[in-house]
Amino acid sequence: MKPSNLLFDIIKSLNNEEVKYFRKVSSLQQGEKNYIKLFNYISSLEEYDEEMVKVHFKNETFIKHLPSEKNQLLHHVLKSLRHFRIENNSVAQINEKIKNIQILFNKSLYKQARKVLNEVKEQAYEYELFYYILEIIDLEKVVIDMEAHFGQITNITIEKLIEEEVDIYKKIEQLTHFEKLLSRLHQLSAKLLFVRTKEDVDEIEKILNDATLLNGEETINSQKSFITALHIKGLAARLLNKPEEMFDAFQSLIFSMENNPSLISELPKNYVQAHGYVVRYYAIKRMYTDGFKTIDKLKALWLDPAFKSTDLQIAIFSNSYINEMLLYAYIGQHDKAKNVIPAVIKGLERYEAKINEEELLRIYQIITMVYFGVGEYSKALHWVNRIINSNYAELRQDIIRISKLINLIIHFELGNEDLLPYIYKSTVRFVASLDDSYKFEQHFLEHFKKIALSKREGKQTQSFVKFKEEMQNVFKDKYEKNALEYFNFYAWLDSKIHNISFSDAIKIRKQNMA
Amino acid sequence: MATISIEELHDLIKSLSKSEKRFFKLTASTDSDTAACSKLFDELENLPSTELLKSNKTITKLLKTKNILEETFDVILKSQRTFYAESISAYRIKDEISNLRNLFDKAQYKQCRKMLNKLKDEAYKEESFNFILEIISVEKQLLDIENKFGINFTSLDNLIKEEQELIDKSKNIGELTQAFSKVNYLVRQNMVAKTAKEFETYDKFLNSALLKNTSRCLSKKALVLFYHTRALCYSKKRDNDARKVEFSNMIKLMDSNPFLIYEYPKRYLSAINNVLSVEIEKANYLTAEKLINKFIELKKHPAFNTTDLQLKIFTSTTNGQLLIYTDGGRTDKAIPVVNYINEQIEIYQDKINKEELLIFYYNFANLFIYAGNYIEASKYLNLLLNENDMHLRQDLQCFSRLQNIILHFELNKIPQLKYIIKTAHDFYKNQKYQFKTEKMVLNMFEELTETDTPQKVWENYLREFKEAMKDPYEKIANYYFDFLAYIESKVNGKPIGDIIFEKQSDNWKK
Repeated sequence: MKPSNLLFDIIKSLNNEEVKYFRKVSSLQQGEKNYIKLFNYISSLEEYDEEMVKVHFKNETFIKHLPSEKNQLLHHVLKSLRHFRIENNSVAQINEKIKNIQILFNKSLYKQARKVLNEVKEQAYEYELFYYILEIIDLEKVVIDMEAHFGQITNITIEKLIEEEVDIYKKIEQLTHFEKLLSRLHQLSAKLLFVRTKEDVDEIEKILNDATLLNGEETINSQKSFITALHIKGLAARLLNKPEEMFDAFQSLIFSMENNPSLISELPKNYVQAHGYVVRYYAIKRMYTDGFKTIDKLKALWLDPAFKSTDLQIAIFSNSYINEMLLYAYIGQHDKAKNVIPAVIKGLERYEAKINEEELLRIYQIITMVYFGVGEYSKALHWVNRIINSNYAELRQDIIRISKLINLIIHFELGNEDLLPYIYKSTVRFVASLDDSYKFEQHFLEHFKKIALSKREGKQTQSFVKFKEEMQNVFKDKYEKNALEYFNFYAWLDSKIHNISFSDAIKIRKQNMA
Repeated sequence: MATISIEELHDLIKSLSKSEKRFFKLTASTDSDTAACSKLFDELENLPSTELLKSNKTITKLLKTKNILEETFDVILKSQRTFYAESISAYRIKDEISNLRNLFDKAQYKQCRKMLNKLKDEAYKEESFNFILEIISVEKQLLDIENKFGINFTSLDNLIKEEQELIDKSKNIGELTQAFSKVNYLVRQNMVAKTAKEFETYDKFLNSALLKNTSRCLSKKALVLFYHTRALCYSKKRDNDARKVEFSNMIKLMDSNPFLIYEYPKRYLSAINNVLSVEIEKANYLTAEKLINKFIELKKHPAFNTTDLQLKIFTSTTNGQLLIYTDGGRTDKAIPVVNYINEQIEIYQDKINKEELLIFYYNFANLFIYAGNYIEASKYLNLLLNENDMHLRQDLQCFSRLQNIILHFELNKIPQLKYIIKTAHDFYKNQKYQFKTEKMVLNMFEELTETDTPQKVWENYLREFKEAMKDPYEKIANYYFDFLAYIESKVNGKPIGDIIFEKQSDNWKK
């Protein structure tokens, strides 16, 4: 990426408060500032075009050395962002205070240095800022040396400090160990909603049987490790399709973080994601009110200064809107889910390039389902095509595979009889090429052919009934049944059998199950 | 917010240089919220410490503002952070890490990666392991995102391996710091090894797996600590040649890796000072004088641009000058150094630590005894004896008692002298003699207070001292005070200064 693109991207990513702060800080410098002129102009652009910049400033002398002006502007923007962060972020403030220790020490103000050191160290421990604590300990080693020279009695010795340092290294090592376990689970979850193969199940079991994780509170040496351990347990349970265990872990994670707010600011993403999983549980358990309450809680975080970063805003966006649409779709209120779509599309416009592919697939899939649910098949087709045309070899193959089947259903609903045979053949080839195809995929294709590609006769209802019976048989298998998480095949077949809408079929199914 | 007293704030203001004060005023003037702080700053800036507790209407009024002391303290530190933002390497890295976090938060992942790689390289060059660990913590988050975008700069396994290596390197530094601290503690307790058992302690350190050779040093930083610890052991074993080798290795390493000088400026100064001490102890006064002049030049080096390091250079070089001029018989050159030191003590006030002050006072007392100015010598000796910290420089505390006896003898205060000798005996009951010389001096003066034929006593003891000085260990006692020259002056009826001048004239050629 060229520096000019970075400059443009950074300027465009500034929120109103940050722009205001930048202007305030810049105004402290007297006189006319070229970098401010450049800032104002670049902010007004929709896309960066260096030629346009040159033309706009053709009468200015500084245009002759535009690269250095841009660098200066970048330097000022980054500096202003750092200072803005210091004023708004406790951890950044602690980081700044560490500098104070060194300043006071350099001025031989040892008493003052000790005072600040003790205060900052306490804060760093509160936030479990291990790297900062190591830095503080390094400074403390020098401070105690001077205290000894000045005959100031302190019970801190270099040995104690090194013990403390070793203790911090242990905490870092344990946290890293947990992060590694969690990362492995994330890799699995990027591919699948639920694990299916014995190897994957064994791997998850192995992670769950990790000695440090298993001993729980006895061996876990920091709050951050504790939170990460809960995240591991929750995600493992999700992958193993054990909703109760998933809920317990993520609910504990949320409670623990809320009891210790410094952890929220340190591990905000874990906090957001945990809410996403909890909503998922409420959806499965048909605890819709709790689900919507949790979504509201998630959305409220949007305005929380601790969650202002783009990365977190995206996490909140995807976890709240995906789950909100999912929840409505679960209860067959696709019309309400459809009302959410404009906000989602707005979010996509804003963040699409920044949202990871796994999340994007999930978003496209749920939009497809919502449009399908309200019977807007053309729109559903548009979104399902975005999934099918994606080229993500490793990511969420489960979504891509199911989308291929949904694609057939959409074309069927659209009455694209000319196209259907070709798409069907292509889908069959696709499924045949898979090493681990599901039985339901094969059964689906077999029966779909009968109802969609044969001549439609009066006995089609019976074909749907048969289709449903076949699917019921296949879905007796717990792994096959997972397909229903992506698309309610029963509801679709019911809608055909009873000639009702897809969402009504869902509603009736939910009522019968209640 | 830590509670700050007015004295502490005053100390901070007083410690600021002119340009720092100017910078503070400039930054404070741009923020209307800090008007009261700025006013308090102005009031305190010109107020001497002695006036601090006296009532001042403006200050009393300003102090009624809630947390004004703490806020002013913070505003000054904030301006200091900005003032030094570019010049202190650690601050720069911290700011760059902060930039990384901002870029990550702004989802500028590509640029974040680019800057991260560059910063990490720089941090590796400077072996800033704690910062690299922090950078890796950002990199883990970045990696998570990159993986989701199908970008693979590195794997988490590699990062974890890297992190573990860094932790091992940091632990290695910790181990060596601990070893250094143990040796240093022994040194502070007991300045020089005398008995075989004491030698054994240092040999154990030198032959330990960690310090035997450089193979256990995982970084250049570790290597500095390795040389320093070994040098300290040799120093205490009185092996000046090996001590010089280790310190010279340390200086060479740091000179070829300047980041180490910035990282361990005090150790660097200590190494330079030790090489100087070796030359002084070997009585190579000309070489020592040249080294001191080079040492003074370090004041201009940016790595030593802090009050405490400037102080360290000041104390080391002036003490070196004091020693070579005093022990080398050039008391005329030493007197201006004393005046300069006194001026600086006045300026630095309580920033000079007790140990350094004790050394100054001890050397001043020696100088004035050699120069025959016993009244001036008594003045400094009293300052030294009034320090009651028994943990600090026990060696000086012992020898200052002997100086006190000499001074009382020279000032002919015989009744007091008898009492002082008695108390010195009591002192040594709880404090074992480091040197035979110490006991000999006490016995000599005990005899002198009771004899009618002092010349005979002097002559007897001159023989005894000459014999004792054949033992290289006892020779050390003569570095503390030239007892031999003192007794010779008595035997020959010459001033001690003249005896030393004659004895040392050849040493000014090497």
